[in-house]
Amino acid sequence: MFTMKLQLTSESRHLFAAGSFIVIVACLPAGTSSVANTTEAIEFARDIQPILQQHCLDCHGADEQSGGISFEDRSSLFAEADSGALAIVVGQPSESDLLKRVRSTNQDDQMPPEGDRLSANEIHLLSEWISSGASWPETPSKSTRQSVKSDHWSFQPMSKPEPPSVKDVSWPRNPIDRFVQARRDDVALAVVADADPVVLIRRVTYGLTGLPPTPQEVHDFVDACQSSTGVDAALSELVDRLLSRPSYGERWGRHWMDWVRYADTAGDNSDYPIPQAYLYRNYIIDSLNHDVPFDQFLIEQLAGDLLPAETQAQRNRQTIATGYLAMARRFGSLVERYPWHLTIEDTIDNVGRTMLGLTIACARCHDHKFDPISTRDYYGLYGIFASTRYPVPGLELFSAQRDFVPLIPEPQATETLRPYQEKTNQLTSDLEKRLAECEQLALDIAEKLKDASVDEQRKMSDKLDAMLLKARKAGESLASHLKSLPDMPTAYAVQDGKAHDARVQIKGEPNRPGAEVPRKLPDVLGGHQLPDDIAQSDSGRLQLAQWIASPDNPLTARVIVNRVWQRHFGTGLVPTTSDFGLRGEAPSHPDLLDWLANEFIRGGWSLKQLHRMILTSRTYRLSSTDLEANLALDPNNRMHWKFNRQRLDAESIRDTLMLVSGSLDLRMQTEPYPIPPQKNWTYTQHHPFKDDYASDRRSVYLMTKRLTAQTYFQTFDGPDPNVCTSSRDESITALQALYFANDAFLHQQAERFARHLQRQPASDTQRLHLAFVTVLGRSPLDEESELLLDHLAAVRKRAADGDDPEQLAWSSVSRSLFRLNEFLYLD
Amino acid sequence: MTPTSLNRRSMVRSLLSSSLLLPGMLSELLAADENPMRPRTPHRQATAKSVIFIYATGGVSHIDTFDPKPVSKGRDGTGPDKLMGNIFGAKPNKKCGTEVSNLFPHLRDVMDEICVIRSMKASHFDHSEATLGMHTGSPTFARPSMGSWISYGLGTVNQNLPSFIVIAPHLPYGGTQVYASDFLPAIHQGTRVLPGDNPIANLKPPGSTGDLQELEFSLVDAFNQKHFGNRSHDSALAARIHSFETAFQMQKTAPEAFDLSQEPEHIRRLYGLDRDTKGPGADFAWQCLVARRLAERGVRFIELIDTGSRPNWDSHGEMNEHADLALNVDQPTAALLTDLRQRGMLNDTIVVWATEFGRTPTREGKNGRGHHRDCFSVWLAGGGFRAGHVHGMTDEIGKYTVENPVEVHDLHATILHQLGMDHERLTFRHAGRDFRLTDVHGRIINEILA
Repeated sequence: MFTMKLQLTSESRHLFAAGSFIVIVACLPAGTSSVANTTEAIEFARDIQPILQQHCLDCHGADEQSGGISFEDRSSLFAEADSGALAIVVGQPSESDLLKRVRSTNQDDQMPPEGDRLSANEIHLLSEWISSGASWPETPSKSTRQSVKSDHWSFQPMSKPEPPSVKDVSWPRNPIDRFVQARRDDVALAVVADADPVVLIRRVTYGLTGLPPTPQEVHDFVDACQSSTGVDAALSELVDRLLSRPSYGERWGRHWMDWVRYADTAGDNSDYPIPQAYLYRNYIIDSLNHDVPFDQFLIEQLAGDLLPAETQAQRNRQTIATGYLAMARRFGSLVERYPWHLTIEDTIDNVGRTMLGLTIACARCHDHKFDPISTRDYYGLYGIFASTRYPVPGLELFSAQRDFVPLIPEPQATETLRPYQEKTNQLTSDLEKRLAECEQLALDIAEKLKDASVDEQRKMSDKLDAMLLKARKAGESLASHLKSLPDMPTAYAVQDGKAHDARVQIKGEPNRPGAEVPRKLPDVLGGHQLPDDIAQSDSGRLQLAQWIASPDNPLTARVIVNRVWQRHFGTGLVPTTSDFGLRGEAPSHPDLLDWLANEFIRGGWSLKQLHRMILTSRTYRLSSTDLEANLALDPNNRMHWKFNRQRLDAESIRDTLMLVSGSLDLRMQTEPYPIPPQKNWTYTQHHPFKDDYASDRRSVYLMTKRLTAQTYFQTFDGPDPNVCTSSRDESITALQALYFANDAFLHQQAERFARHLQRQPASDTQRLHLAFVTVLGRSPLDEESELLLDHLAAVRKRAADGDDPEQLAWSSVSRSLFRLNEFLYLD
Repeated sequence: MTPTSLNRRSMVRSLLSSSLLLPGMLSELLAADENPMRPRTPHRQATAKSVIFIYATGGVSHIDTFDPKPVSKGRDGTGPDKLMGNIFGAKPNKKCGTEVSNLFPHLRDVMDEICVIRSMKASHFDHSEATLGMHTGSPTFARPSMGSWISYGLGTVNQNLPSFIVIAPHLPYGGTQVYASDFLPAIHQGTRVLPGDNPIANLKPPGSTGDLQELEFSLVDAFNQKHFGNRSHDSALAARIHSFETAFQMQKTAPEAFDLSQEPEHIRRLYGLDRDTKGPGADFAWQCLVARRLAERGVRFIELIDTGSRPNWDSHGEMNEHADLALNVDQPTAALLTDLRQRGMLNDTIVVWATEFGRTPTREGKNGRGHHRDCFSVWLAGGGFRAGHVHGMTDEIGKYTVENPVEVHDLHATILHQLGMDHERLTFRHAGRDFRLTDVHGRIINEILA
């Protein structure tokens, strides 16, 4: 457990705020009554306020403070705006950005951006007002910048609710049930009966492992439920057993992979393969199986490389964990003008959604429209990731891996690379130098472009093009050298780069740098800045990680317990599991959410313990039967008066078909995919990486490409490896039905299952029983057996002249069972 | 007994005979809100009902096609400025006067049906991004495709065929993202169809199992109905029962939609179906004729992609590659317009022809051109667009737009408008905000509407 705390205190933040205030005061003349020598004195209320009201307040007022400017907050007008400029420099109209903008005719700069321009007289008045001291009446200022507060529920510290008392004390099994029952009592909803043990074991086995129970397991569980110790003990024992299986980590690892948009390719336009990505996938699965405390799990993924390690194995594990950050999407095909800002946006977007339930990336181009997240908040986080070195997985015009992290002791890695190092350094510094020159020139051009003639523009852009081309060539030289280096074990992982603060990118365009923002956390969540010494030397990732994983963070624990709840019950207590912001939905059971989050933290952030709490509740045990009266009042079952029926997801369908037919290899995939060696890579957007590798392992081990999704996973609502997939859709389409009707894979599994059934020395009825209980978990009723026997007979009769009527008949039965709603849905 | 001998009526009857529901209740259930594909009333009176979106992969040179620039004044690529006009020659259409290069003689003849936009601006300078931009509005982040948005907004009238079909012998840049539904419900994703005998996956039972399908389906239905009987409030279960009926119908109706043997000789000739074609785009006559048949059957959005990520219109070194490609697509594309017109379908079908960006006015390599983002041409026909019209203008070398610039978002907004949808109101709540095809942009280009 990590207990390091952020050094910055609230006092020092106040100092910072006060500092800027002093500057403002100093800028303002002591008496604002002095007026320029015009015929008549400017009066703010009469002359200026109406102009601001008419032209400015829509975007720069109390509701919206575009660019960090509000004309209802005087301090924001005299401080540095997001653009880096000062809206008003008292006494100096020519230095005041306000006047530059209202006069400009440049599309990017002019204010207002649309609609009527200011009249010459209005501009004159503004100019005179600034010259004469920019007097502002002494009304209380509605400050927006320095204290961001929100009374939105998710930003408040967690409450410490006690489980409420309930009318029927015999119903609850654990505190979860008391919260649920109390809410249900409030709205006078009845509750359904408990699910049948067969339904229950199928539900919980799929829920924890993504696989069905075997007929023997069903049998034993039903017996245990009927024994003297009853369902409580049987269920609790079953949950423990399932949690100890490797298939638990595979199932819940897949959930985590959905949220962190795991893929084995980079997503650039050639979709470069990442042969080492699987190490991060296996890190996830292993961590879940070992029940690594969730706070540690987060810290390792954000900053594992910055944690102390006692052994090389521990170092490697923590390095591999940062594959989470490395996993951010890549874009483009060129090493020059490489759009790192998009990769960082993708990082911030995922950290925000997955860990905090916030849509922070909206603030890249403008302050968040709904949540109290400003552009400065975004670039405060941006600096942390801009100070981080991401590995390069290769791209069209740089077809080699770069900055991957060795998984061998550093001296050994250095020794291996020594013969090549000089050349590597020389080629690297050549490339870096050229890239830096290009970047500087691009910025200069962007600055000059507005006022340049077409001819000048052409000259500048020709000059830049020539330099970019040289940088590209330097990149190609480096890439081809890197491809010749000896192989060594490496991870797709991040390291700290050069520590620096980022500048705001105006409207999200990297060529339009604005004000520099110190690295910090969003204001609404405390706004902690890095201590000076750390800001000098470190990216600040570790501090970010520790803050995210802090028990005082109002979001992190709530978000993960809600995600776990959602994957068990089909919907979250907060239905918008990746958005706890103002546009998200409110929790149906706020007290329960906080109680669960508190218990989760108290239990050492143990996910397995969280599962135990949830799965042994009576709420989880309810049947999915409907109650007419409740349907009208709570059709979406937000009060949990029944269990939500759920469709098997894509992985569970495939894995089950293979498991029951005996073709599933249950071993963990510990080898990389047979991706061709790096020295042969020539992937381009014209010939992107498109390989597929057949596998008999569980679906979690199938290679995931970002650009070419497999049809099967598209058909059955598989995860989108480009973005956090909060929950899986449960669509029903004709193409799915065609799959169950005709797909060759499904037919093959049915044929294998048919052979397996025929190998049993048993009667038709016994074999049918085995088939039924294997696929559906329960025994067939007599009338169901009869239907199936009739079907067998009909197929045998029709196929009598064929090669193998028995095989045909049993395949036909197997296929039919796979098509049942009872197979596809969990009650 | 073959599956085709079981007709829809007997299938429905077999479903209902074993049903615990009253007859008709099942279909009533499915006609209600639960069916995401039911036809929807648009925001306003629609001009068009469906879209055929023709996508030419690789970046077609505007200068050598629909915005021809002269080679006079020494602009033949040999000068020091490397400027190179249209090297294929050009002529105007006799009726409307729209000038088109000699690469597209057939399309030139039907230019009086076509509205060309010569002032398009691409969303990016590179293929994958610009391709995604043209399809989804976003060159960078994964977003739903235009076809998915339209399917989501309007549903479809033919429940036996997907609402959004992509006929693509090869995948373009951007891969499957080009027709993905992304955060929209999966039912709205494009169904990719390959030219040939098996256009849609899983339309035929493998091996000899087809003979047993009816038997199996009735067994499955008996079980599913019984299962549903105790769970009759769950519309998902009813919808899945229904999906088998639809699948059964699709096995019968979909192959028919793709069966060109039913087309008379004069139509086959019109499209050039039996011409000798080779190289990229060789299947294009098949694609165009199938597109018409799908449009006739009520498919909402049909996309035709002529070539894949390689080889295609990306003529960096040799512009004569354009000639081979044009030869394959010119006649069938023009035939599609003619055929739709003859059948009275052009008025409510929008035909769009687009590519990701144009090509540079300067020569690159031996005789090629580079990527050009600042201006390029797309065209639209039918669906209430202004026939025989040219919108926007580029400078005399085809480098910059000098009049009426059009962004991809504007094109999308205008297509939605003609389908009766307000691009600012066609939204989907995802991850805390309302997303649109046009993001926060888009303006309807009134000048190109009839």
